[in-house]
Amino acid sequence: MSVVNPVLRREMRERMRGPRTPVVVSVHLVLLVGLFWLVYRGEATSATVDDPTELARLGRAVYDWILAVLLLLVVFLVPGLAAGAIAGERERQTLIPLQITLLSARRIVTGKVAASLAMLGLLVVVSLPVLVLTWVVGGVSLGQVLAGLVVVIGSGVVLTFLAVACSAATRRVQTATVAAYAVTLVLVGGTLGLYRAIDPGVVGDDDSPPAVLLALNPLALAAAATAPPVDSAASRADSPLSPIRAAVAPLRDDDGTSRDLLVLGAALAVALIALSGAYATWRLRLPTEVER
Amino acid sequence: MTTATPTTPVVETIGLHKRYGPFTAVDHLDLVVPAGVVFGVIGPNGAGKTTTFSMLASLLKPTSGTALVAGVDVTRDPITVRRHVGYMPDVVGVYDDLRVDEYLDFFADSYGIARRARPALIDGLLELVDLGPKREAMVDSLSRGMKQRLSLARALVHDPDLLLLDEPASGLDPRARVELWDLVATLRDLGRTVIVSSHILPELESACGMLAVMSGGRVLAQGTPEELRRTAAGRRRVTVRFVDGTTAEHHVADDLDQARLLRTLQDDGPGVLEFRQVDGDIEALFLALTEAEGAST
Repeated sequence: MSVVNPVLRREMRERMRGPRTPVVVSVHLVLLVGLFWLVYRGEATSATVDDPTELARLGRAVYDWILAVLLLLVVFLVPGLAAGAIAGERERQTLIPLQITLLSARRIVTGKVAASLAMLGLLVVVSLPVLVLTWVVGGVSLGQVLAGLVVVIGSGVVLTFLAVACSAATRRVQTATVAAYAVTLVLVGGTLGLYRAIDPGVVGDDDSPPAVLLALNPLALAAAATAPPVDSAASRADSPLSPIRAAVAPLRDDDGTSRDLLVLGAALAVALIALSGAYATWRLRLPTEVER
Repeated sequence: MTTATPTTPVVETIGLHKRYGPFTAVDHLDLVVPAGVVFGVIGPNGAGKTTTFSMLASLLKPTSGTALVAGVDVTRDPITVRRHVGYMPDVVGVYDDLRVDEYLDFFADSYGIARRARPALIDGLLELVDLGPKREAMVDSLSRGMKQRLSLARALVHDPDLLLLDEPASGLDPRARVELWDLVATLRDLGRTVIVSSHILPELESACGMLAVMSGGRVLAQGTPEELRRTAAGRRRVTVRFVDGTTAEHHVADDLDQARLLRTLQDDGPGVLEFRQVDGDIEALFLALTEAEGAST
């Protein structure tokens, strides 16, 4: 058997055939560059280039916008890309011929996950020059650029595993897609809404609601991982991540970082990946037993 | 791959049983399929054919009983069983966005066949199923019959001992059906063991060296077509049309019984207009057995 997962190789062959992928990548890049330009033009004044403080605020605003768009891309794209992974095979009646081969259930699932992530990976890679450009402008460190990327990719991996688990659980792509978007909505909107709705006194913590809610939220994790130092010029930037940063501010550690929240987020992400991967594998292990 | 000798049955089931909740799909099935034969399975919908095939292909765990393929227990060692079995399900799905050769290459890869061995293998398979000229065509562009043959090539990609073909001719036009059964005959000539199910008995009768009639999850009769014909001769069916327009159907054991029936009808009935023996063939046996099974369940 090839070193490269045969399922991944086949999926890539199918997905890369035709103009769809180059068109999607090109449109994504044009939109990202356009966003960069719009935010830059909107925030910049004639005094900005001469004032390092203003330049840092501008750079941070552009970076936050780009990061937020990348996160939204993950949130909107991943469930759609991954939900058809296994349910699609069922719908096309190709799952049984696949399962009768010597490929293990785990190899089929990993191939499906990798294929679903490949498109996202491609879009992230083409976004890199734009992200690095924000670092050149200022207001954001290279470490923060990398931290943002890690959150984007990590969120993509978690949401892909969850969507593939939804796909393994259902017979129809449509059902799998609805389920995958519902899970994503709970993780992105639900956790943030619940966090804001919970009265700190009720959960017995005087300072803040349970951090575990935000540790599951990609936007909160990105906001925490890339937060500028308190009272810095960059912290005054107005961006879509500003209100989320304000929400996670009470969860900061004594040293001003959000290390505990990020570690908790990483642990939960690993747990979700393991659970959803194990579930999808279990669903594929006894093919027709589960199909009935 | 040839591990079974002519004396070893390629398939042997002992009390094979499968239940889904209260529903019994396969009921203590005992089946022996010798190597190198085309073994036909016929039965009405819900007879348990697909469930049996799924268990033999190691895709479904039996509730109880044993199934051995090439001497390997399907429950204990499913991976080895899959090396021995080529399976074509009743509904064939293919990857429309691949080329024909890419499709077979993917499955060859999935069976662990080395990359350098694949081109020759694919050429041979495409020649066997008469799709050589379509090597670089998109799967999407193939007719249904061609897709069926491609699926058969897929099932042969790892050179299995046993081929399980579940309703392979279903939904095909007459020409494609003929081509498919010719292909099954070719596989028989190549010494393959094939278990094939169909709803169309005459096709099975001509293609198969052995036949089994299944209904209600049980094998009601099995043997060579000749043996079944002999059995059928003892289950003769007679249709009668009377002068008043009514009809009747009777089962008789032999010529004497049939003559006795005719005399009785002529003496007691409204007048016999037509008295016809319509059976004595396997189809009649199938109908008689499955009707009796239906009545008893």
